[in-house]
Amino acid sequence: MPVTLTSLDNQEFKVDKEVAERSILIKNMIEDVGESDAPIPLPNVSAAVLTKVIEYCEHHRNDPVQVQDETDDPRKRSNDIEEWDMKFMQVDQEMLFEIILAANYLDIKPLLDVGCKTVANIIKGKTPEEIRKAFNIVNDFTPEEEAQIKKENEWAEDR
Amino acid sequence: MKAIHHLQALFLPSTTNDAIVGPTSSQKSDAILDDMTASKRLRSNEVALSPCSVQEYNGPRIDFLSKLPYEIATYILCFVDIHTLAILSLTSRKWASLATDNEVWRNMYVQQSYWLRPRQQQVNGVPLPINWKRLYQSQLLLDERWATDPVKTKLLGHSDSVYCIHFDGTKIVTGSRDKTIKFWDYHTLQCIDTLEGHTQSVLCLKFDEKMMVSGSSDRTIIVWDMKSRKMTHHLLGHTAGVLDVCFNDRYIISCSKDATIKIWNRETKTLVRTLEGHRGPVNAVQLYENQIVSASGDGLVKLWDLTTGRCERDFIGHNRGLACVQFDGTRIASGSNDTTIRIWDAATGECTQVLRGHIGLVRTLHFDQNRIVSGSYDNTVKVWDMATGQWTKDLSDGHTSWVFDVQFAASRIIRYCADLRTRHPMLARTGSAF
Repeated sequence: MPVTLTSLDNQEFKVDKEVAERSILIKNMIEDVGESDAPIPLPNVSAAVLTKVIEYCEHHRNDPVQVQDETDDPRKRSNDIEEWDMKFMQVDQEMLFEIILAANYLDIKPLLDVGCKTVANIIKGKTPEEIRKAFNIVNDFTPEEEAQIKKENEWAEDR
Repeated sequence: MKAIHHLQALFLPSTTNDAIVGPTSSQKSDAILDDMTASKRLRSNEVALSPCSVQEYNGPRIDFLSKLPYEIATYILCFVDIHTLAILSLTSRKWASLATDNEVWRNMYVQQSYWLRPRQQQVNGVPLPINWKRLYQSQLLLDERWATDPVKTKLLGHSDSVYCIHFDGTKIVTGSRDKTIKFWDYHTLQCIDTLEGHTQSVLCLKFDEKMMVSGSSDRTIIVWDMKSRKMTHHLLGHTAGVLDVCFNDRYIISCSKDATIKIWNRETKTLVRTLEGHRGPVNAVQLYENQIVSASGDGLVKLWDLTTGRCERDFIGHNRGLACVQFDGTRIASGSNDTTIRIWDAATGECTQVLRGHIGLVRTLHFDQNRIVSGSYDNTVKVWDMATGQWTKDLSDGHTSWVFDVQFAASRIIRYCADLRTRHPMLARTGSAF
């Protein structure tokens, strides 16, 4: 049975229940109110972003549900993004930003992870100046502060 | 699905449009999962047009870490390594504050699954916050130091085996088979003084600010003044070697191969009482408030009342002689020639844990709230979880000789010593851990 989702800009999306339920938020809503034809309003997500999110959920509709287990493997890696997800994330920064927010709001942990890993991968392997350029950040340190921080973090530098 | 195609066409440069219909066979072969990290992959031209690339990306740029909710920003940083965090600290004030976030560093720390979890310190029942970045730094330093060969830091000077060691923040004091006691500078490891007085091996010693007490195979105990480093008293009474000593503000306790324990008045240096009951040499003794715990070659741990001199309880379970004991008021830990460590409930006499793992005599141990460190004649130093009794870590890989003494003190320093063959104590110099 399909579920209807309404975006911020009032567009309606009909998706299979199992696809919609990749979102824990939606899953809980459906469980709480019972199945009905009434569209589920998602006032935090625009149509453009919701389209992307649904695409992700469609692709991953048959994935096993992630069991959250803190003790299982606390090691967090960003180099284990599968190929489809990596291509899926080839969007501009604005969309990437919106996807992360939507994944967080809709409670789609795997999508949030992929989004965060993608940002982490942009950050990795760059110099401070390259990072500033990549994210349009203004350097608000004085040269003295910069030297001080550099000294404090010497032990953590790649040797 | 039409809308989706439209969107992708919008966000993806035309060269990667085929992503919509799936990777081509050549791309598939490129995508063989190997050790290549994603960051390396992202640098390859295949995805050079993604927002990850500085040069070719012309879309909008967003300050992710500043604009995302705090929880998500710090979550992103859980996916980078500490080297990257160091670099992020240099980009801007806002990013620096996120890169030093305590929760981020807690995550960095717990990802190192072999690191010991710190114990939560409390003041009046309120847990003290843990500085995870500081802790990570210390642990890293500790690892680096353990990785270096501990034999490199030898204290050269004694002409024979070293049997005992005690240290504080400024000095290390050692007792040797060469009959002398040596003082070493804690930092330079230079010998600063040699004390002569015993006529045979120095087997045990303890000191505080004012006084040092040493015991010897010459059957005597010498009390030294810590300031002048001169002998002040010679305590005679034991009829065999003095194997261990301890003291508090009022009493000096000694135990001997003669199977007795003697209590001496610290002020007058006179004998107060002799405790008899063990049927073998008493190898270790410890004082806690009004109670004395002793461990003997007869395989028993005994708990004594200091005031009455009565033996209050025997702890029975080890099936070989005992070499070491520690008592914290409620728990007793004992190490034995049967290769096990036993934990006892002092109040009931019940054995609550048996720690198995050593394959030689357990010569020395030291425990606190969370863990036990033990040293053995099997040449290893092991760390155990106090709560579960599980062995968690070996500190010395392939130590080449018997471990005589181990101590991780309130100063959070772990050291172990003694090498019978080279006749010099070996110190693993380690940094502050917790």
